[in-house]
Amino acid sequence: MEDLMRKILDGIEAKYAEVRYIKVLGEEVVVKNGVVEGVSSSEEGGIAVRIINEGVGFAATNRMDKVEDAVRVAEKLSRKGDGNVPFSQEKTYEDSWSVEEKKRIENMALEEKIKYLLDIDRALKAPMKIQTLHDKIVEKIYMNSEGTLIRARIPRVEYFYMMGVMVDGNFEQSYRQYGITGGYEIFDMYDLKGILLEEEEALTKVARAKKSPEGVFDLVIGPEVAGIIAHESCGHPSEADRILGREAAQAGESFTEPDMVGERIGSEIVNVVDDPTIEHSFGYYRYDEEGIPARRRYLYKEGRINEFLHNRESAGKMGVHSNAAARSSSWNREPIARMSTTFFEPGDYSFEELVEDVKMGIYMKSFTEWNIDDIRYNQKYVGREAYLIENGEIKEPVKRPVLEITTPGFYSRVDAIGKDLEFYAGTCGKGDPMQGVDVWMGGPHIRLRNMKMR
Amino acid sequence: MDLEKLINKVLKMDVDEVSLILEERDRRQIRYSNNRIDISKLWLQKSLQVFLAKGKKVFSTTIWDVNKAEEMIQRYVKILGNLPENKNFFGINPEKQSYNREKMDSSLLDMDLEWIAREVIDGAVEKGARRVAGVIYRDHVKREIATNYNSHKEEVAGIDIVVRAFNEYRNAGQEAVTTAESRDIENPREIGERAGSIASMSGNPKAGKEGKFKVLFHPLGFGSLVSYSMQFASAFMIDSGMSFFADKLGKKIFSEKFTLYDDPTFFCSGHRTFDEEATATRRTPLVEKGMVKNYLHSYSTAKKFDTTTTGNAGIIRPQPWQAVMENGSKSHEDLLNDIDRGLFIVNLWYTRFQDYRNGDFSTIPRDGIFYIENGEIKESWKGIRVSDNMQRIFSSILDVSKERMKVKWWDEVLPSYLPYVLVDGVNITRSTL
Repeated sequence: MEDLMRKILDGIEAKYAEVRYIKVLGEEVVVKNGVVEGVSSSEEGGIAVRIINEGVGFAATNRMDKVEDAVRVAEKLSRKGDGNVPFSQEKTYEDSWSVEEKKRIENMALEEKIKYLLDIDRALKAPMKIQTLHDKIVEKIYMNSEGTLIRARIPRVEYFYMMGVMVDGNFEQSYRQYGITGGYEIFDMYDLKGILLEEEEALTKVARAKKSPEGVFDLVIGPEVAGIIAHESCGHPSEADRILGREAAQAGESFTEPDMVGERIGSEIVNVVDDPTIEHSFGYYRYDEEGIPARRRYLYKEGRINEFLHNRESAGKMGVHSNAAARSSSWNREPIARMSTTFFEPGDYSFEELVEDVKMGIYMKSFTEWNIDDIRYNQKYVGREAYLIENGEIKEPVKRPVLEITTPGFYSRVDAIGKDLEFYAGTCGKGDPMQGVDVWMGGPHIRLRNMKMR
Repeated sequence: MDLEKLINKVLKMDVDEVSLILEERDRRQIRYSNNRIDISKLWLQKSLQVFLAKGKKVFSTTIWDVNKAEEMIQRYVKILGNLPENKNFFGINPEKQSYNREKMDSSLLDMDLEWIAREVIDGAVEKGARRVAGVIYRDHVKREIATNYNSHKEEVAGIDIVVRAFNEYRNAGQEAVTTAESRDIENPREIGERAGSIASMSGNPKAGKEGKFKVLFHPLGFGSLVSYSMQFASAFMIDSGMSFFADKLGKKIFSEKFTLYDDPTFFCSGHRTFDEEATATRRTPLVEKGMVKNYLHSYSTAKKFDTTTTGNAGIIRPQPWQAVMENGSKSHEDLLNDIDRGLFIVNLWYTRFQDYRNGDFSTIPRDGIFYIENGEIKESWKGIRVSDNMQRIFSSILDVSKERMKVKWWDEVLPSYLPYVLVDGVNITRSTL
């Protein structure tokens, strides 16, 4: 394949060109209410070229008989622009990297996967449940006309569930995703049956609970809530292509402007990072999809906007270097600026210390409905498992507390940050055609003062 | 690849039922922002979708290296034999099908997408937009299916034009047009002009207010609600219990004014003549004058529900193809005049549910939010959210317009042909800090 890719690259007349080959071997099992509804397998792969001349041309094909045609069209399309394509200048690299699977995906029998899901299903009393177990091994070769050549082998496993309980006509639902870069050691890292049994119990309690009271409360959020907030209102608005307007008609833009680096967004104790190098993280990578070595990025540092997420195109437009945020979800997608693992850095409070001086508060441990506007400014999080806090003690569960708040409104009310740290997996959507990429998001418990809750 | 030969070979393997779909796709895209083209793309793809059944054991895959299809299917047949039974599977459709003739406007294939992009941008700028972003797609698909019982071929094409125009205050207007007919897009500049006009009308928006309002939804915005809801009409979701349509069949729970079809026979970009088990597609009423009439079925789910297929396979998970709503008799201007105190909302995004079973959800208006008093636009708003219940929204439809638009947007709105929709008492919330 490398020889073919080299030949393709050598045959392209361009200011810049790159060739990407990606092959994905995957398997998926779906269990719904105790029935194995589907088993599917995939072996997907293809070649994509991105070519820069007066414009940018891109072509992707899985048809070996059409590669030459696709490349020539991409070359032609690259000449249709207006001549202004800034692209950051970067060092070149040649490397191969892979991620170890402690329990290899190929050694996990399909029967074992099915048994695992059915075992969880049988343990639950919830009348509505869907589980999906998906694994994949991604093999990539990337080369560009500047001399970079990166080979990678990336195994990933993810588990997803949806569950609904009904108590006296009251319905509560939950869905979550667990994923790692690695193999079936995921079953050792997470006691999924135990997690779902706990979740079922929590939902059952919430289904019997009263609606969360309206008013002004101190709020303690759990790591799952911290994670989605870090992802939605720090990670996304820090994507440089959004800031520059390139995603404007789809996922939207950002409240952040290119010249806002250094501006205050929250209290001094807030640090939010995006880090593709965390071992086992679902969005782990060592080189991004443009062959740039991965590193940790401080997006909000000490409460100020600090750094954006760049691919080479956005970096070129802003006159900086790429910080290795280019990701493409598949062989037939262009690399765009994306998150990997986005999280609040921990502080030094224990959970007990966070709660002990809260007179009247709400503990929003996890979330259900959420959304945010397309500049990542106005957001809503509805608690899934939540409790009242009274005089420093966690009290009875409450149903669906609602936090509707602006981005600076949230970050400026952060008062204390826990020393714990948990991550949750997600599939982040962006791009057109849609590119769902594997990410982690997380944080510690976090306390906020005087929050208007509904 | 000769699909007939392949299925004959597969049927000699250890399987009972087979569905093979060979798809050849030639797709072009232009993405643009800040009034210039960012990237031009081409996809040339060929794949074989495979569904295998042995009794109640089922397996599915998509093969991307079609030259290796026979060898790979042999491997999958061995896997199939070792799988547990899916007691919800009742076979693929054995009835002989009679297909509608598919339509394709070949002139779409020769359209100059770069020219369309430039016209759209120029149109929006002409109406006052400062910045324009969007996407143009042209899709051309050749699809062939063979099952134990039926076989058929179709060739379809469509074009999508999405334009989002921003004014000097970063307030936006949007149009997202989809079509299978070149006559609909003879004047792409006019599509840009519409988006530019909405952006210009928006001016410098004010912070919106909370409360319950009459809302006139643009077809694009209502398309978002309909598109999310149609996924819940799939028999797979009904069977799971996590759908607000569950236990509602035959019940008149929505407004008399609300009639919604899944209609892939309508000639637009969601047009197709067969589903994934070669059942001929048809127009299926999901809601007729407020009554829930059907769920979306494959042959198998229909058997479980003791009804007949609606031609929406996904064999295991039925899916909607194209949303079509009945229109009304008033113009959308007349509907606007019916609003004493309310809103006109162009687009919605990020719809999420806190309760699939009952339909509690919220979603965020964008691309034109106008406050209306006594039928007149008074000001434009920003920063609001619809926090409501989908059953309540559908039961509170006051009227629908006589005009309908062909809309489709990103992963939010299915190919749809919808009117403007006036809804009473929509709950609007906003951030509190």
